[in-house]
Amino acid sequence: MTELSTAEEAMTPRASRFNMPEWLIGLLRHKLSVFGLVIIFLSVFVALSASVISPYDPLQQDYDNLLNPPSFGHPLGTDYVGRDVTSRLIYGTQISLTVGLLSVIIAALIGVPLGVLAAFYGGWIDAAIMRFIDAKMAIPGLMLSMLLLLTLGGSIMTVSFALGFGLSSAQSRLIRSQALSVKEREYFQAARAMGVSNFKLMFIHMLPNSIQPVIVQASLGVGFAILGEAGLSFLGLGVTPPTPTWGNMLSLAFDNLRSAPHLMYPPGIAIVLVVISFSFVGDGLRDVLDPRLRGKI
Amino acid sequence: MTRFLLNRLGQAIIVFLMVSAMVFGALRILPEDPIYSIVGEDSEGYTPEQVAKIKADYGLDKPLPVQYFDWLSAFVVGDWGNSFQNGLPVTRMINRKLPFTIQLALGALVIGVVFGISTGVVAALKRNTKWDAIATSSAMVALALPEFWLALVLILVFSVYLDLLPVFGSALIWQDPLFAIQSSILPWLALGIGGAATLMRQSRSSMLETMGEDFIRTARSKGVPERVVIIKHALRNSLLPVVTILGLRIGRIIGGAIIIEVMFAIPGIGQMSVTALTKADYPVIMAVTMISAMAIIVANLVTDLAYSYIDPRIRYA
Repeated sequence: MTELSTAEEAMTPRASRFNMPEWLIGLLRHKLSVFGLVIIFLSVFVALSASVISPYDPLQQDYDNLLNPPSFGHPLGTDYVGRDVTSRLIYGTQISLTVGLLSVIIAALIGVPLGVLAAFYGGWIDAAIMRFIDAKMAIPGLMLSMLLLLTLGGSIMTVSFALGFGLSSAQSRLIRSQALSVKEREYFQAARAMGVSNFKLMFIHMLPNSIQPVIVQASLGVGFAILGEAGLSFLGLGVTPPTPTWGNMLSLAFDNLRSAPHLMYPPGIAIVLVVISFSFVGDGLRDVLDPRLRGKI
Repeated sequence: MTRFLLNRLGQAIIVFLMVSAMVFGALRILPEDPIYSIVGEDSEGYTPEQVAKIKADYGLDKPLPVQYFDWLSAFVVGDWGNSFQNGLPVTRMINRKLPFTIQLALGALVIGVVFGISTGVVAALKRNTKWDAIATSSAMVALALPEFWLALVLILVFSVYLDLLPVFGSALIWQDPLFAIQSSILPWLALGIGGAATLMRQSRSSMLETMGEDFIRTARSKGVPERVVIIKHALRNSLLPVVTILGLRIGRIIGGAIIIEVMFAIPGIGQMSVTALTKADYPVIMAVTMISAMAIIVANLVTDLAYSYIDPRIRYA
C-alpha cells in the first residue's frame, strides 16, 4: 500500500513546492471537498467581518419598512419589525458557526475519554459506560437538548453543550471500537509489558491511534449541530432573541409565511449550503484518512 | 437464540431504568417550579401552608430517591399519574395523542423506505448515468435540509401558492381517511425525506458492493433472469446495512416529529411534550420520554432480530 502510493507520488509532479501534508493533498483532489472548503472559508470570513460588511445594525428596527420584499436598500428585504434581513443573516453566521464548532469540541471532550476508558478497562466499566450511552441514545436528541436548555437557559455555550452532549454518543462508540482493535496490537501490548502507566497507555498510545474516525465524524457533526441549533432556535429554545440566528429567523419567517414568503429563503439556503459543505469535507476526509470507512460513517 | 434474547431483554431493561432515572433527576433541576402548573400562575393567593400541602399531596416533598421509586412502582403497573397542568390521567392524554404521532411517524418511515430503497437500487443499477447523478445529489441536499425548512417550503408551495393541501387540522386515518391523508401528506414528506436520503445512500452503496460479488456473476452466467438476480440475489444480500440505518432512523423520526407536530398543529405527543417541558409537568414528560425510549429500544431489538431473518448465517448462540 505504502509502496504503491510513493510510486504514484513519484510519477505525479507536485503542484507546489511547499511540502503539503499528505491528507491535504488528498483532500484537494476531492472536488466536492474543495467546494465545501471554499464555502466554509467564505462563511468564516463573513462571520469574522460581520461588523464591517453588514449594511445595517441587525437589531435596528424601522417601522416605516415592515416586511419589505427585497429592494435596492435592503437586498434581502426586512422582517416584521423592519430589521434588515441581510445584516441579520450575516450576524447569524457567527452564531451558527460558533455553535457548530463548539458542539463538536464538547462532543469530543465528553465522548472520546468515555470511549477510551470503556475500551481500555473492559468488563463492568465498559458495560456501565456503554449502557449509559445506550440510555442517552434512547432519549430523542431534541428532547434531551430541550431538557438541558430549559434547565440551563439559552446562550451560545449552553446550546453547544446541549448539542455536544447528544453528539458525544457517536464519538464514544466510534472511538471505542477503534481502541478495542488497538488494544490487540503488538505495539500496545509491548508498551503495556514495559510497564507504561495506564494513563499514558490510554492517552498516548490508544487515543492517537484510534482518533481518525472521530475526526471524520466531527466534521460531519458540525453540520448536525448547525441543524440542531436551527431546530432549537425555531422552537424558541436556542440562543435568546433578539440575537439573530438562522433558526430564529426561520421561526419568524414561519410566522409571516403568507405576508412575507421571501423571509424563509436566505436563512434556509445558508443552512443548507454550510451543512452540505461540512459533509463534503467530512466525506473527503474519510476517503483520505481511511477509505475502508466509506459508507460506514 | 433464547439466551441471546434474554440477554438483550435484560440490557433493554437496564437501559430503560437508566433513562427513567436520568430524566427523573434532570427534571428536578428545571428552574420552573411545578407548583405553578398545579395551582396556576396566581400562586400568591395561596399561603405557604397550602402550597406545602399541595406539594405533599403530589408527593413532591419526599426525598428524591423515594419519589423515584414511588413513580417507578406506579409506572410499571400502568398508573402514570395525573398531569400537573389539568389534573387529567396521563394515560388518557397519551391514549388520545399517541395515535397522531404513530400515524405521522409510520407515514414518514414508509416514505423513507419506499423512496429511499427504490431510488438507491435504481441509482446503483444505473451507476454513473444522469439518473445516478440526480439521485445522489438530491440525497446530499436532502441530508443538509432542516426538516422544518423543508416543511416551510412544502407549505408555501402546496398550501399557499397552489392551495392544494391544508396546513392545519389533522384527523386519524380510521376516522376520516380522506382528510387524514390530505392533511398528512406534507408532514409525512417533511419528516420522511431525510430518512429517504439516508436510506438511498446506504442502499446504493451496499447494492453496488453486492453487485460486484462472485455469486452475482455466477447467477448471471447460469442464465438467471436479470430481474431475479437483482431482487432475489442482490437486494436481499444488500439489505443488512440498510436495516441498521432503519433502526437508527426511529430515534431521529421521534425527535423530528416534535417540530413537525408543532408546525402543522398536529395534536400528538411531541407537541404535548413541548408544553409539558415549559410547564415542568413531570408526569407528562416522564410518560413521553419513556414511550420514546421504549420505541427506540424496541426498534434496536427488532433490528438485531431482523439480521438473523435476512441473513440466516447470523445466529445468536
